Amino acid sequence: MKHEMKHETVREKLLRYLDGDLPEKERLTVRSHLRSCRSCRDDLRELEEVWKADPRAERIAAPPFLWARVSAALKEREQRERFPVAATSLIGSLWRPAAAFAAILLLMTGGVKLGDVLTVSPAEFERTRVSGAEDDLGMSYFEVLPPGSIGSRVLAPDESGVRR
Amino acid sequence: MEDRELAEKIEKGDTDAFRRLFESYKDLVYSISLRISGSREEAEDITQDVFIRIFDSIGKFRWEAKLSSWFYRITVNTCLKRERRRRLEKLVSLESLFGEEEDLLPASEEETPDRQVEQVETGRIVRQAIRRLPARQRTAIVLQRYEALSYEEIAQAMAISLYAVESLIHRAKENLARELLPLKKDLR
Repeated sequence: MKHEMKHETVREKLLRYLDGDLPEKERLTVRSHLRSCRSCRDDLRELEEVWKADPRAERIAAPPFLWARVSAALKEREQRERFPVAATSLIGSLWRPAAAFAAILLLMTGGVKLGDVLTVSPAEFERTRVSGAEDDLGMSYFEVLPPGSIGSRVLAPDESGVRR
Repeated sequence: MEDRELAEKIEKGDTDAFRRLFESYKDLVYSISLRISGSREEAEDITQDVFIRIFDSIGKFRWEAKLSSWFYRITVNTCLKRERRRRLEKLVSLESLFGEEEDLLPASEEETPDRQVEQVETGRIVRQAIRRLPARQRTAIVLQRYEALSYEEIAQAMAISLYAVESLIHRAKENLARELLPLKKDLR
């Protein structure tokens, strides 16, 4: 059991042993163990093969388009700094009320014009107007009832303009 | 042109000088970013971020250390920040599991094709095992193994103590030994 435990501990230290990272005392302990343990020697050999298979100090080349990205990012930031957030937000905060005001003005103007179109002219009003209740009832917009009709007897004014 | 001279020009807004600095250090930054993040897309984003930070702050660099040390520091910092964010977002890069980056590494011309295939495969296994390490152990191992930095340089780059670097590398190698030994036996 003691040997197995020691064996496991040695295996964990093999990479450091390979790289020369172990303190002197530990390095000697591992070396002593390796002399008497064939299994650990085999492990050391295999680990060395694996560890050294990967090229150590080889830099990986950066892709060629990276400069374009960096340059573009700096230019974009420069643009943003020319039109700072404060200015754009001021413009942003003003355009909505301005648009609303313009819309209201347009509606009012349009409404007035529409009203002009729909409204009866004074002359027209005079021609069709009947006095008294029909005015109260807003019936002055309707055509005068033909003489002799029940409605005309009830609603039409006499010569003096008074309703009978 | 010396780095310091380039830095002075960059501070004044000289884009050509910045381009020259970029060309000098882009592989360093990209290489570390790729090995730590395990993702080409991440590595490209990190490289972009690093150089923009360099552009912004180069005027503040005190020149008490080498410029390369600063590049290491900013790159490692950016990698670890993004790693923390990714962990929070629970993103897993499939590239990091299946080792896409080995396509960028050329095989030795002196080896036979069979030997090349075996080496590529074994190399991929090592890199995958490294990527499975916790972020800080992975960072320390990448800087030691692939950038050949000393423990002191790694401590500077990671902004940690020498003792912390030793501890990270030792734990990383113990984890790697545990992972690689059974794999090698399986390859036989």
